[in-house]
Amino acid sequence: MPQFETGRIFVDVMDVEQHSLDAMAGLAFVTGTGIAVRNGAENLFVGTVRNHNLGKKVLGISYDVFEPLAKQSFLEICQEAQAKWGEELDFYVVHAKGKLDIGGVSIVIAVGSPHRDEAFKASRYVIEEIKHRSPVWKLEHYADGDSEWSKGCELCSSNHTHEAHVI
Amino acid sequence: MQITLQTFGAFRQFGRNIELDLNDNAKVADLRIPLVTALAEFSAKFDIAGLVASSRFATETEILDEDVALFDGNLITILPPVSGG
Repeated sequence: MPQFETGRIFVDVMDVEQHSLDAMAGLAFVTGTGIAVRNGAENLFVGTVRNHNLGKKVLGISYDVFEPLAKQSFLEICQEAQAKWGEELDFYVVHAKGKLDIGGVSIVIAVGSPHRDEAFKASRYVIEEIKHRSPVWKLEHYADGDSEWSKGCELCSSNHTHEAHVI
Repeated sequence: MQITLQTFGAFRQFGRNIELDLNDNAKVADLRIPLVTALAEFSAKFDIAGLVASSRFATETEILDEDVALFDGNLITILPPVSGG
């Protein structure tokens, strides 16, 4: 039976007023090059800003991110996906911070796997968990000049131990 | 004790940080009432009590349970409902 090396994980938050998110960089990370290519399936998910939400015309979205905890949550979610679908899976997760116009890329998730089923499932798991667990907030800017924070998902209880204190 | 709350999301409009005075031996759950009081001036326009009730508190490394003890000078982050992706 072949021995798989543990997959690689890259997570980051990028200020989109400095650099745009690069979906192809994510794909390249999980694909590898030359004889290092060990995955037979790469799944790429790209989130973009659409021009409407709940019946309102949207001009753009500003993303607010609590970076240290967001990056930690991305890492934990990828590790959970490895535990579920294979320790050899590779992950690339980058989320935007700052203001994006319509069509701007808000998140790139790339998953590399030896087989497609695990790549699809792991990718879906990562985006759904990020939406429910990661400390990121959207401020939508509307055509009528108004702006509003998205309602969002309440964070669930943590697995924090009762003995722990804030340092 | 003095606690500094770092704000994100919908709380940004009330300032980058909010200073709270709490009793000694206060726990995370004890942040909520003083926070609602501190933001009372905005309650006519915003559902402050609802927003605070639906929020969690965290450090840079973890979301805190409600019974975690606080200490003077702690920097705590308030996390309203999230909407990433």
